[in-house]
Amino acid sequence: MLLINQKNMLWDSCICIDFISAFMGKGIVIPDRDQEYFEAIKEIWQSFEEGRIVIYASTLAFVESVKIDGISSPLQVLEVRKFFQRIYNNMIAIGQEIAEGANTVRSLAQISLCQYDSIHLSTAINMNIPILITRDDKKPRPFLKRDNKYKTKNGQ
Amino acid sequence: MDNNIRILTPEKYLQILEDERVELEMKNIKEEIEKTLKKDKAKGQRRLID
Repeated sequence: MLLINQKNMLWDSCICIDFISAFMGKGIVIPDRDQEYFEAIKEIWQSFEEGRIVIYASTLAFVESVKIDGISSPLQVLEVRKFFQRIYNNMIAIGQEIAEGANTVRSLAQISLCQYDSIHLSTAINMNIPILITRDDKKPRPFLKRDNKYKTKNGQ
Repeated sequence: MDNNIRILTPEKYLQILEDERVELEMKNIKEEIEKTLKKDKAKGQRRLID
């Protein structure tokens, strides 16, 4: 299956959150081991900005993204809003069909699928979006906790 | 439900696109070579006839 003609993709919450954390507002210092991952997100976003692809997101991602490191500062809330304003027309609300789909997907999944992931997956399925972009769970990137490992660019 | 959905990481998505781009380029190059060979062959045959 050729993906090159498939211009629609859905970003799940963690990708949205990572993008906001790294590239909006103050930004975080990206550790070397995660450079490739963040470059990839950035490149995909650039393709979206240039109109080559369309990025969709569930309204759930908007809700999940608001608490980037536990406690949301007004600035963070603003950054999250700014990001979702850019994809405002591509945000998909969780309706009955998506909820039903998420329920089915969770019950049928052979692997453990959390409720949030099942909603993202069901959203993509229901809207015929052929690609769902998510993180590789084998390589967790705890970006949202701004601990000693993940400082912001100005050192906060 | 459509079960053709692909779940990919950003890196994997870009890698697939890159692989497809390379594949497409290779295909185009191959086609160009074939065209040139055909032309050369036709030229050679014309020369033989002349």
